[in-house]
Amino acid sequence: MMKKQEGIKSSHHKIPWGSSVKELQNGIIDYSTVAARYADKSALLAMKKVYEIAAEGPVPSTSQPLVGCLCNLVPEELVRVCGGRPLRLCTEDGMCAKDGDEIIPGDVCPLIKAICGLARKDVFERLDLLVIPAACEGKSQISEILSPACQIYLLDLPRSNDYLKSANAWEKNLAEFYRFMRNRYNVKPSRRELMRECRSTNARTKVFRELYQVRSERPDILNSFDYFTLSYLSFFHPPESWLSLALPVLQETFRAAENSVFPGLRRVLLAGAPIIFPNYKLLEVLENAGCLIGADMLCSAYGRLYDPVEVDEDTERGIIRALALRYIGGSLCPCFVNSGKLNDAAINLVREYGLDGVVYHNLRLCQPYDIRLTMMRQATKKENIPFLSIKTDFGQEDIGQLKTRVEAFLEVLTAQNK
Amino acid sequence: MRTKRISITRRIVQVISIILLVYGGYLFKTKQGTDAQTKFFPALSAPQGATSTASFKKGSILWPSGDTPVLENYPPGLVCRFNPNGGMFKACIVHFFSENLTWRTHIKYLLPHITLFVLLCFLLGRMWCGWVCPIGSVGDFLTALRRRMNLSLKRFPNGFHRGLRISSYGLLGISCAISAFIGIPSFARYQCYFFLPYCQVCPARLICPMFGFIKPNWKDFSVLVSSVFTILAWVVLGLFVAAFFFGRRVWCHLCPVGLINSWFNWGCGVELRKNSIKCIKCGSCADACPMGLTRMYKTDRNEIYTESGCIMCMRCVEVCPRKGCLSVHFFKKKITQSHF
Amino acid sequence: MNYTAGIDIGSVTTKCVVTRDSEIVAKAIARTGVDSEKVACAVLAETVECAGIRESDLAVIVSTGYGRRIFKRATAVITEISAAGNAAYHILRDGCLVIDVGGQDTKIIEVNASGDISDFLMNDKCAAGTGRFLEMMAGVLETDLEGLSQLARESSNPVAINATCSVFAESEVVSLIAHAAGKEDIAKGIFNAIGSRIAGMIAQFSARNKAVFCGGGAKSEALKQSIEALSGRKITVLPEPQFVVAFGAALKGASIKKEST
Repeated sequence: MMKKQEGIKSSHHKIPWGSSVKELQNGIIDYSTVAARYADKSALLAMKKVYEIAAEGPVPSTSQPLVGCLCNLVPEELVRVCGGRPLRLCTEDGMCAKDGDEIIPGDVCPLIKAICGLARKDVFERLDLLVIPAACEGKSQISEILSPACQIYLLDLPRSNDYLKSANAWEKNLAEFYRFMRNRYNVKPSRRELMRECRSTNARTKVFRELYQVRSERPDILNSFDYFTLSYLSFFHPPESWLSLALPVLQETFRAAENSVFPGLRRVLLAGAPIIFPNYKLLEVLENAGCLIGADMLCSAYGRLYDPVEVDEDTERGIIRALALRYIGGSLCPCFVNSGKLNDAAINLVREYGLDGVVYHNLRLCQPYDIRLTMMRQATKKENIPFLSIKTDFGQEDIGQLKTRVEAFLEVLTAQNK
Repeated sequence: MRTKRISITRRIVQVISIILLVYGGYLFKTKQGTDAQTKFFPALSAPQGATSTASFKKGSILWPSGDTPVLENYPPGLVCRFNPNGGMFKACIVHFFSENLTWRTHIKYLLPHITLFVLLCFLLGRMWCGWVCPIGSVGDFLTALRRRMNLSLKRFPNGFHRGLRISSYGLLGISCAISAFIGIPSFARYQCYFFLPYCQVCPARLICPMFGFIKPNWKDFSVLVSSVFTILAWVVLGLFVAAFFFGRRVWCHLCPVGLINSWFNWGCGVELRKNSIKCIKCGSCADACPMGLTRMYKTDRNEIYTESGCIMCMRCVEVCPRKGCLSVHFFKKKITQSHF
Repeated sequence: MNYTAGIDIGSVTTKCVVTRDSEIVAKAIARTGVDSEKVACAVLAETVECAGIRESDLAVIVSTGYGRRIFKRATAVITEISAAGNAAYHILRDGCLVIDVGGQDTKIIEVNASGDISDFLMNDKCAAGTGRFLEMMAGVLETDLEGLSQLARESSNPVAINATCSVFAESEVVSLIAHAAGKEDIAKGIFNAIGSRIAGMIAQFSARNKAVFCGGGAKSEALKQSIEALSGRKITVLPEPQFVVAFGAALKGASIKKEST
């Protein structure tokens, strides 16, 4: 483990997840309060447990070595099979973003700042390894800044997301990563164990798809807070324990759906930059305005959990390649050059679930999503699908402006539906 | 992984096909070794004056071992042809063309077979290769063995497959040319050496008799030509088997039977269609294709994506993670689709 | 009693309009200040008095604008976007593209042929492209919006202002003054700068609809000319541009009343 530099870590900031006066002053409330707030809004009893876990903060206490990952581009099966506990570190904690501003000031995406700001909460101390995929610029560059705080593995990825051009590179890079992991943790997992991890992921996928379907039909029962918090739990819980939490929610939603009818509220597709607990500002504005989320395309939920691992060649390299195709090949992240895929996915979801429009969420200063925004606006205009773009960050000061936009959008949708 | 409905069905069909091709002739035989016409296919009897195989040299590699020229007789072991007592019905189309180019058979005896062949191809395209061909089934078995042994796949670049296909045209062309040449009366004396030139080197000749527990005729070093054919046959068999430890279905790019079947892939009854808007471009379909095809991945239109190389194994449809993205149709009626 | 009132509670000014049979009979405006509810009540009272009726004669009161939910007396609430679209459609009786340049934000609203809003674009985070930009620049040139427009009219050779951010534009203008560029040319350059921002927003919409202008910024002829030149579209200023949104709210009130009877 490397020696840590003082500049990254600041001991007087040793704040546990949410009891900071500064947070309260900034209007950002701590995790328990946030979780309790959304637990109150939930219609499902089974979600209580989920919110309790979310309130504990994203770093689980475990005897396994914690391997931090960013994005969805690192197959967590490879981490789990080596005995590690994968932890997706992407966070949208406003307090962390402010801390991160001290580490990397300047015009940088708030999500990146928040990840750096985790250093102030001593998260990197608890990690055994941090795997950073060379996805967007922000994520690739912070590997250097964070290297004094933690052991970093930079997973190199080609710019093009085209299977024909890049699949061999993905396979090679992931095989190298796997070799690194095996050496680091001194294990020799068998193919059977790898397949077991893949099957575990697929079991989770099956349940998630059912959740996704029932949410699109009854977003009034399984509201967006519940859905995103449940997805958020998969950031630090392996599939088995996630399933034990998600299945009761699913069953309760089915039961509730049988006994009631959907009030004809507007349902939209949520696309764009991820929304991660506790930054549910936009979700609250949407739900309060009566604009329910019928489907989403975000990497914090759909992109993470919707697709299975399809193993055709069950040699070791074949399984690694299958993981690459699922996590990297199928990724919708705009950091890759994959023209048109995002638009197709959006239009497909709108048509498949009969949604009324698209709400495109972006974080300020995120270039890739910004450029995709223009492309999607044009694509949806061609298909006569109403489109609303929201550009915001983790602060609370623009809630009024968001409300105006969302309410105006709702007026557009209501008029269209007459 | 999840239920592989299509693959399981395909395996069952492959096994049944081997059994039928090897032993099925027994269903139609009248009497073994006699010249009696088959009672089921009178129209398919051999024409008068056809060159009898009795004039062939004994011990030609075309005959499985033993004195009796078994080639013209019943199975087992002879998936290449189904010919109870001199009839014309053949299983392998290349054997059919080769033989009749040499014997200059009258077209009226060829029409039933050609019609049946064309009809089957029109309905099913290249499904023979993926679902029926016995050496294809052997290949799939070898692939499973390779995976068991954890030998990674070597993916060949596209140019390699194109090169094989061009060679396949060459192989078929040369074989037909030789067959036609030795049919010319002044060159008939070469028939005993050059008869069925492709069949002499085809890997099926050495593999399929084993299904019938018959020893294949491994070698004939009596004359130069036979020796050359013997060595060529070994080389082809060696490459055939070895290729399965590096790739999947490599031989199928070279096989002349597959080549002829492939001409019918465009416009046949079995259609593989893509609904492009559902595609997430993960590449699983192209990755799983044993023929290394990529059109199902590349295309952005809602179209039929079967190429000439497609053996209709439908692995692409099976591995696609998005419901309804890839589907199998039979004359526009949907049979099955990708699902999870 | 066909009186309805629309009240637009903006962040800078509050406007109120009373209509009878969808015609404006009275209007009033005041600065919003810190207590928006109190100001809204006062403005409403003033408008009602000007119309010669009592508040109880109003069938519907519709509030809109930034402070729309604060005003407790409102019967209904709509966003400024819908209100502007309503008013524009009522005046033109056809689909149009509404350009609303306010003090704090700028909106482009696309209205379709049936009078519904089909799309909109808002710029409310960045000052460039809003009235705020003009106010800042007018201050640098030691004048106000009126004076700025006057100066611009006399320009023959406008300077190009390169900064996209209004804060940097301010320093650019200061340095231009220091280098003795003519005030008229700077003023025209300022209008071109804001005009190009707005033209950029307009370019995201199709050119088939008629373009109309409302909001505080529409009072400036110089701004209208700049936008026309830079977007290549003919722009019509709506009557009483600053009250258009309040008018639209009042019209919504009229349609609510019609539905309930």
